[in-house]
Amino acid sequence: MVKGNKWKVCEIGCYLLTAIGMTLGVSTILVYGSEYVSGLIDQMAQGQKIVTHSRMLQIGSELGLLVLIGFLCSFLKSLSSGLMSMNITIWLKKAATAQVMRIKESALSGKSTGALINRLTGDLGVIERYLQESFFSLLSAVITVIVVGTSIYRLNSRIMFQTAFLCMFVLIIAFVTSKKLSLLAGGRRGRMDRLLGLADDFLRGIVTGRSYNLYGIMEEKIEAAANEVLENEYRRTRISSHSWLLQTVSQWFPTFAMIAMVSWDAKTTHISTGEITYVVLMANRLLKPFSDIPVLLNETAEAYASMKRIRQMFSYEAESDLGKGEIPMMDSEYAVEFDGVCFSYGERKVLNQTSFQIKNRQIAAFVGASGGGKSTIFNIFCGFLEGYDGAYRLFGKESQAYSLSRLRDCFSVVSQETFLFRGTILENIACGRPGADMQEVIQACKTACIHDDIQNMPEGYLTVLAENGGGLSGGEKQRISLARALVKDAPILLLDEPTSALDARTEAVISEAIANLKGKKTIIMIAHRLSTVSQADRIFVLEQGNVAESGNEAMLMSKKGVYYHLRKKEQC
Amino acid sequence: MGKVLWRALKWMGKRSLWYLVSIFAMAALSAGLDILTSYVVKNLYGYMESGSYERILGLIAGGFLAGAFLIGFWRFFTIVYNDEAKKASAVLQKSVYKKALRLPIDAYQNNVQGSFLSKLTFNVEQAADVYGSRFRRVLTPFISVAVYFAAMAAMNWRMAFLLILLNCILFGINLLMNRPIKAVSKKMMDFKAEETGTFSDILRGSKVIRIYGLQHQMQERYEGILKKLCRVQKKRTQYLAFLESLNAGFDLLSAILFLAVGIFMADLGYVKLGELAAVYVIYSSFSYHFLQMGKYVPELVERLVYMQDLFEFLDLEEEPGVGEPVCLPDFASGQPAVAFDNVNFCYSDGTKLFEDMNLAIDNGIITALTGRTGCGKSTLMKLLLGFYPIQSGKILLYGKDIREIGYAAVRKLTAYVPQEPYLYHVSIAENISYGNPDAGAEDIVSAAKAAGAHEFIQRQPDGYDTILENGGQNLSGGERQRIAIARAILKDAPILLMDEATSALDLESERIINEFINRYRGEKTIIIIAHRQATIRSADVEIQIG
Ligand SMILES: Nc1ncnc2c1ncn2[C@@H]1O[C@H](COP(=O)(O)OP(=O)(O)OP(=O)(O)O)[C@@H](O)[C@H]1O
Ligand SMILES: Nc1ncnc2c1ncn2[C@@H]1O[C@H](COP(=O)(O)OP(=O)(O)OP(=O)(O)O)[C@@H](O)[C@H]1O
Ligand SMILES: [Mg+2]
Ligand SMILES: [Mg+2]
Repeated sequence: MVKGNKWKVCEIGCYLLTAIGMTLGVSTILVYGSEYVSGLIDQMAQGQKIVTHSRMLQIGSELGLLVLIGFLCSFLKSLSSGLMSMNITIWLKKAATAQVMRIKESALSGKSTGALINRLTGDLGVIERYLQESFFSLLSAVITVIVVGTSIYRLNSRIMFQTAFLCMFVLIIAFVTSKKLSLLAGGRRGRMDRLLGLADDFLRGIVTGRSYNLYGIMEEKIEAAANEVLENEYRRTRISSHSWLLQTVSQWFPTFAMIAMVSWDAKTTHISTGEITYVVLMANRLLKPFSDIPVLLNETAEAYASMKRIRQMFSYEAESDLGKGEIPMMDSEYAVEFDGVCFSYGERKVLNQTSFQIKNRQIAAFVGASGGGKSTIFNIFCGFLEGYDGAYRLFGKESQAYSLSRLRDCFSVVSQETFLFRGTILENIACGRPGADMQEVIQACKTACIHDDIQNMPEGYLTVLAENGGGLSGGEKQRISLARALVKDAPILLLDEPTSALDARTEAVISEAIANLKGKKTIIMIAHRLSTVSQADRIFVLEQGNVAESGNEAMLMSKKGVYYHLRKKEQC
Repeated sequence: MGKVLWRALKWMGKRSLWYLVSIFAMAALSAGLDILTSYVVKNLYGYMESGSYERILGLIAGGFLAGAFLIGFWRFFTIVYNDEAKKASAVLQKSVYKKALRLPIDAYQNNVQGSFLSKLTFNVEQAADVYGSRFRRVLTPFISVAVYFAAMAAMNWRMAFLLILLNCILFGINLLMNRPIKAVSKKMMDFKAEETGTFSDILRGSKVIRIYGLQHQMQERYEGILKKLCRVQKKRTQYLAFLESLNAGFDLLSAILFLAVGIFMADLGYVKLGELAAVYVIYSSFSYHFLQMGKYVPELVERLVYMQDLFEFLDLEEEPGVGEPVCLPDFASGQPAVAFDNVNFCYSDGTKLFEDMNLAIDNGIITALTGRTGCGKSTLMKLLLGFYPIQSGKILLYGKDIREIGYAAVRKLTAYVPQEPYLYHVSIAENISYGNPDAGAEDIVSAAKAAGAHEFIQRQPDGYDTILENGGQNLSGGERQRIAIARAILKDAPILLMDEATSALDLESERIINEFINRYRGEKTIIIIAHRQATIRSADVEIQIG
């Protein structure tokens, strides 16, 4: 990884150096060509005859060579600058995705997907375009100005200082406006975030939106957000039009002023016609890039604003993986234990001194009111939430003893809300464990009662799913995600309402299949239909963030506590 | 491409006039500036030769004044231009965003390729560049070249024609590159969509990725797309580099050729030195613009590809009746509230679901829809709401075909709790109020109470004003469901559709909701999809599907 990075840096460095070198080359050729021509004009003004056969041939071949070199230089320049910007963006993109997969899960869930996508496509696009176009234009402008400056200095130092003074003036104004623009550019991207976040939200909730005729509301919000972007744009163009003005003035005025100065000088000192022509050429042809500097500075400011936003993405807190990397002891007595665990989301306390022990290779179940913290417990199991008090032991050791990936290796999860990737059904199931073969996938699907349904689809296992399983029924998604968990074959299976969308018959078949895993795996499930959990070895009833009672079905029924009453209610 | 450009201009409506006028004015005025400079230069040589320095002073002062005047006008037009360009981009942006909300439901669920988000971010930004700069950059050179040419021809026609000839060749070569560049940007667009889709999967599936250790796999998948993108982009870079160097080389060549020929002619006495310098001053601007014409045409074409894609998107058929005003049918007619009459339906991918389906549900009755998972229960509700067109037969509400009633009105008549309800990124209160935007705070609270949601809402950090993040990630599954139910309750429509609306609820919460349902027995038509026996038993009728 590090080695790969080094190579990448080397490669990018090479492109950058080539581009800089070639920019220098192109500018030098321009200056050299102009000097050459002014020399010719001087000779002519002094009455030398240059239109002789041999002279023409020589001049022609020299100039031709110049053109050829110029052609090559500029080809290499734009090629290497293009490759450089492409490599940098791709590098940033790779790093950004890697980073997204490292960010703390709890930090990620609060971020709007639309906004993050906007950073990846929008901001990186701005940076890419900048690196490819404006960055080198700026560079070549600066180089050209320096080369021309020294060349004029050789000719006449006073003109050079006068020009430098003019240039300074233009630059100062340019800097001031670009500062303001940077802020506005950042504002624009932030507003775009909001607009895209809105659109993403509405697109995901499109079914709900349609059935409630929310079109008007959505349209209004989009309109308002888009108008905010536009307002910001107006403000931005007001300021950037200053630099346009600056561009034109500095394109025109210095040329004019220089000509004036030179011709004034010609009155007092001796300047040849050739030299004047030279200055005119320089002023016109070579100061043009200078006039682009204000506008280019603006673009730099905008790219900088985008870069800041990308950098911000890298500053999100990553999952701290300080675990010592211990290997779980699968034969310990208890699979998971909570000892006085307290957890709250911000102010909102969810778990309050929760303690329980779940025996290895048994079936355990959590029941309790909706919002009672069941899914929260699962999230703590998987290391998605941190900042809890108390002890969470996995296979007899404190959870901190394991690295996060080891810890997660211990769990297969079917979460309450299924998530499926774009891609085929096969990919979605086989990704449970790298290297899983077709046989295993089919076996898992049979256990999850989905094999036949998949076979009945037009393209079977190769059916391509749209975003988040679009085109499947709720129960189908749930069973596919169960099959994926079964393929993983982890020692602990976490099932958060895995059958909530299934009819009673299918549920019974799956329940039986799950019960058959007893003795091979630890199974922990959450269910609201108490009948689903009745075969569990131990049922934990959660109340007020605490385990109110626990035991198997028979024990709990005879206790005539919370569970008993719930069960009675369900049956009637 | 010409057609796309034409449409892009028409899209601006009357404003396009201002837009075009300001481009013309800007180009002409800045060309005027260059001609002014060249005029000054031309006379400068003359005055210097004759040694009349006072006239030089006058010349420079006059030139300066005229320049300031021209710049003043120019500035006015830049502001007009910029505002119009931004406005046009914004209009395009808005229409695309709005369009993205108007497509038939099928378009969202079978959108396998990539995501709309790529269209909304990348494509819109690229296409907006047409208004922002690319079109002007192509048009300006044409105008200024014409102006310069006139000026040059007036000074020395021989030189002018030579230059035009040189540059036309260059322009022709540039045009040849249009086709490959177009192909490349089409490909880039597709890969971009794929890239965005994968990235959004990475974001949304973060938990699955972490628990199954898929970081590596997803990274590889993403990098695979980047690699494809990279290959196309390399090609694009090569094309552009070739064009640019061609232009730069040609520029040098023609500048030098011009000087060489100029010197030659001066030597032979065809032109004066002052004329030469003057023509050259114009020429440097002229060739600069001519070069840009060549350089910017391919860039414009590239952006027009995106523009075309957006126009195609805007031309997609919309779901009929989205956002139209509503007029309700007569629902006291004694007809069954909901009826399916010989309905045949299969999904666009060929999944056949209903064949000659007949069904009638009387007004004011509670119906339980049951059946094996995947048998089409949810689909039935979606058909009722008009989300998918049926192949044949009729779906009737109160005896009237839903296509006649109009989808907006059908949805006004029904309160639907989908199997996977969605909560928007706004406050809880606003989420509920979407059921009935006119409802007051009290109505919202009483709907929440009826859905058994009031209590936990009050426990949230900001109560009803708590903002829900990312589709309600900061709520538990059952809490999300109850908010969705509260929304349906607030809507108070004559038909209530609940698709496994209580699947994640505990008994107590479900009891509250059943109570609510029972209260409306005989008054509202309620269709429930459920698996729990108790719920099914409480219905008046059970309809088994499949
Ligand atoms: N990301 C979060 N931020 C803030 N609060 C949260 C977050 N996730 C859950 N909560 C709150 O914590 C409480 C417990 O949530 P949890 O998802 O654990 O409940 P649950 O027992 O799984 O409920 P259900 O049966 O409805 O799924 C809920 O009241 C919920 O509002
Ligand atoms: N947009 C779609 N495109 C193609 N096929 C679809 C689409 N939506 C659903 N299907 C298919 O149609 C069938 C019925 O789906 P539906 O969602 O109506 O089932 P359901 O009865 O609600 O099942 P569940 O109880 O699991 O929710 C399924 O086999 C599903 O794969
Ligand atoms: Mg839960
Ligand atoms: Mg369904």
